[in-house]
Amino acid sequence: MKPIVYEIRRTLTSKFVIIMMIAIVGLSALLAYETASTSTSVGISSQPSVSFGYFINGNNLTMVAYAHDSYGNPVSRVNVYYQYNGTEYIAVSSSNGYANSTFPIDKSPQILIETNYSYRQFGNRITSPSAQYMVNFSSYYSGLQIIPDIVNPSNTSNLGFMVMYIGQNGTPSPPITIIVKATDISSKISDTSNFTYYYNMSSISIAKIYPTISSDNRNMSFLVSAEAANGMPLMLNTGIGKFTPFIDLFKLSIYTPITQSRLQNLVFSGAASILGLFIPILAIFVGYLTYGKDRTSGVLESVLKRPVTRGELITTRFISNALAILIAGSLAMIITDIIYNHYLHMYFSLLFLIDLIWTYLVEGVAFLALVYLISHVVKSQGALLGAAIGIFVVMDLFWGIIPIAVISALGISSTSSSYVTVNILFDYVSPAGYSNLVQSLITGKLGSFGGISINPSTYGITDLALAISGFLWMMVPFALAYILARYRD
Amino acid sequence: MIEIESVTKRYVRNSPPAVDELNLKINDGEVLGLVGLNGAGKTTTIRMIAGILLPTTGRIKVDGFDVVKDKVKATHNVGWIPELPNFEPNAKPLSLMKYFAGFYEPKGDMNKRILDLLDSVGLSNDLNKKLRDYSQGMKKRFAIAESLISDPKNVLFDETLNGLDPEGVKFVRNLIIDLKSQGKGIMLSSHILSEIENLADKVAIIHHGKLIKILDRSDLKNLGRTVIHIEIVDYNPSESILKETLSQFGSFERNDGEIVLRDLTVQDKDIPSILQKLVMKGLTVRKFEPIGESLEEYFFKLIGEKK
Repeated sequence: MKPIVYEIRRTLTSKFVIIMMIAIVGLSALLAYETASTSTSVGISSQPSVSFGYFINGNNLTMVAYAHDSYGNPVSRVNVYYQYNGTEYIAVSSSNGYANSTFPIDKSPQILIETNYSYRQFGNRITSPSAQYMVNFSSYYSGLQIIPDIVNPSNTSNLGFMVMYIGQNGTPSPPITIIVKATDISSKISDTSNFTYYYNMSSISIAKIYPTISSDNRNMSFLVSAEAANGMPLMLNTGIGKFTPFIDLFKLSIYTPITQSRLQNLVFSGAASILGLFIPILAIFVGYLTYGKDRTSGVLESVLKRPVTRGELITTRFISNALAILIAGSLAMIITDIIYNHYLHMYFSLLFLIDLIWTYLVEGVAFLALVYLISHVVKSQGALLGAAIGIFVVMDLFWGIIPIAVISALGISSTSSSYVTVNILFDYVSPAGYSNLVQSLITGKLGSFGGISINPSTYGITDLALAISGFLWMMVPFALAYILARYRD
Repeated sequence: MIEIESVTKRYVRNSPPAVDELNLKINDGEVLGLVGLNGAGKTTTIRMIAGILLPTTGRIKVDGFDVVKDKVKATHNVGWIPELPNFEPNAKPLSLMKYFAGFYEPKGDMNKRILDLLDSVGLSNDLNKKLRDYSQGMKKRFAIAESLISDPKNVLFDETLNGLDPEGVKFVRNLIIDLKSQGKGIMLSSHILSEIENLADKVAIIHHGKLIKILDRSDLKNLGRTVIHIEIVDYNPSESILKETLSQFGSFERNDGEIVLRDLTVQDKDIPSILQKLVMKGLTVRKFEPIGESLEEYFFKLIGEKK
């Protein structure tokens, strides 16, 4: 077996590396999912809503209330209050969501029923503001009502609507055709068959409709209308005593076109933070476990006594460790890219993907090289482990805090250019700052302290400077470790 | 063949050297015993030959190749069994042996050679264990096997007998004899001087890093010459009485209440006349023990002189 093959296999199959790779890839994927899905989904309310309808039978009015969540699913145990002529009538929603109440009314053309509802949330009873529902006495039932902004549970970036039908004296509806059309009639809808729905509805019933919006119709507004079986238009109840042939649904999708710039910002606010923390942990401890510990414990001597030079031995292990870092960073970025594409329908540009992989390779390999260097300076495992933890804590974990402390101590204003200069200086001083520098170069904003727009080249952040800095971070500590390995015991 | 030429090793600058201007040579088919107290520089010397430590000055050549300048060629022909072998703890013996074998030019069926070596050291039933689960004795057996993987022309045994059971000691003893018969150069460091005395063709005694004596086979044979251990009861005779009584029979020295008489001028059959002379001088002799001088006695005598 070729020694390099064994070294690579040993590194990649060690429990620590496997666990770290799962953590890095898994957490990056989770953050990518979280940032991608929330950037495209409708805000889901945890609070129920109540939609109202009615029918009149003689002198009695039956108010129908349907308590539901953001997806249109029924919600039970919602108290619904109706006030008419100074008398309050209460109904509680059952498992089907309905909270109906029947009470006598005067025969006048229009009747105002004051409604509100309450529900329990985290032990507290929450009461909605009062609203008025207009009952038109000339119409003995509310008929068809359209309740918009119902979230599609299978695609939370899309909206649908509910059709609520209340028939006369418990009679079911005749066949109804629900039609959804773009507001701009000049616009073409690619698949109109998806926008016509046929229903025979019972006297009190709810139907949820989620039109399938093709990508070229995402930004259109839509109107919903209804027709009887003979093609005659049906009037839709607006709930304020009026009937209309169309209800404007506005948009059925909250999708907004993604750009590379937006995609990059999502990465920097998501997966990048995980990689910035975990890649150095992987690098530092894989270096400790497969080289430093072997060196200080004497295990490395069992290899050094072979026909191999000291330089070859350190280089072989370093390359196998660096490969683990490259694989972890690349896998994390590729999975992140796939997840973002799934939700946002755009892949990273190849250059951006390479930039990201390079960034975390530099960061990881630099920390790895520092551990190799220290392995040749200290003599005991304990001292090496302490130094490795120290490097992680100071140069990675708390590196973001140190410039703040320095800036504060020097009394530098956060709006001054000195503030930017000090931050960028610190980013150049630790490998942990390298990703901030790359971020500044790409976004034109100050790395992890975000928000401040800068001209990167003014502060020495250029492609060339970052390329040189990256190579120096990877090569200088390793070159020193290599020299010590060759010329010292 | 191993040549050590004026080798000095300092671990810390300006500190006393661990090895000081050492010159040694181990020829093919020769066993060199390395003897010295703890800290004498034996292990340091062996680790320098194995390429683990770098000499501060001087040169070590293995079969003509400099261990520092031409390490790959030099260490190709060196097998080293350290006193406390240390291996990658999570590795299994077979995979680690295959990894080690990867450093050498393939010779025949390497897998078979690996299995044969592990079998010869008695580990064939422990191949599924990880090395962290091996006892120190098992690790030493594994170290013997992995050191011979390339069939090296020179083998270094550093306190290899320590920690081995009697069967293991016998195995190592036979292995050394076998390797010697194959014409391999062997360096053997051990605290068990009787083993060295039996196995070595030459013995190098080092003290504080310096070579103080090299005994060849004929010297070792002469080590068997008789010395007499004498104890006198309730009386500490003066130097002049002892000189008057014993100097005619050889050289004597006092050692912890005991008088040791060596370099005898009389033949073994005339030794009773020495006892007779002591009695006639009025001395009450509690112990009069004529024995052959061992390497151990010689070693302590030599070290004592150096102190």
